[in-house]
Amino acid sequence: MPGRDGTKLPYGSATSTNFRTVNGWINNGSEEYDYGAIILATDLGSTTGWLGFGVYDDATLTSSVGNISGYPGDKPSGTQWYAARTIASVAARKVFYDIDTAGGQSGSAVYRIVSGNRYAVAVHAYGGSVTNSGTRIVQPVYDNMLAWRT
Amino acid sequence: MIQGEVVDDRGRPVPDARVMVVSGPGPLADVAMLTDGDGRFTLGLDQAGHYQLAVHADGHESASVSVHLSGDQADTVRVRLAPVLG
Repeated sequence: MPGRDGTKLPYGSATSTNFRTVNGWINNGSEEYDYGAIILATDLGSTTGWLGFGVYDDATLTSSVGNISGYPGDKPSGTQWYAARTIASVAARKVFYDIDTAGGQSGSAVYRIVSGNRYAVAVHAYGGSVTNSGTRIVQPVYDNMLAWRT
Repeated sequence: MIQGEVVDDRGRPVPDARVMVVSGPGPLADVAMLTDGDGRFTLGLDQAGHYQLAVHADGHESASVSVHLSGDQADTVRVRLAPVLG
């Protein structure tokens, strides 16, 4: 239901039973490998457009503002909310930030805005009392996402 | 595992309520489970400890409930939501 706004579905909806993830998640449940994809049978992206994604070094990420838009479960049903804040820190396969999120927003992109274009740098996954975090898009993640797209 | 049901002030099931873990041991996936048509939900948690759940549903006041999960025991909770007045 891309772009859902309460009961309004501007792009309709799609369902799928075709999923992708990686061994590090399936076998170990490691939060460093907590990402995946839902493969749609329809060409919905040609109508909605696509979000970019990229691999960035530590210095670039920690000097960037991270943006998250998603569907937090503590807000009225099906409403999209947005927040942004400078990325706090990074690890080899994680990105940490204090961008406000709530349950239901996992899977949202954590994205940078560069010259008006949006590029995902991580996949939001965890909330916490100290910091929130997502799975960093490093080269193997990037490669998988490209491969899954085709 | 934590299982439960969400009901309204008359004891009727509340479907599509959003149940989320707001505190607990270990990293917390930022997910929200939707209750089914009978108001029931299951949270696939496997780490023992104290969890704080929040429950939200349109037309109802939000609620919070504490759950202690021990070992492999499945814990069951019942959450009653008051209607929004006014």
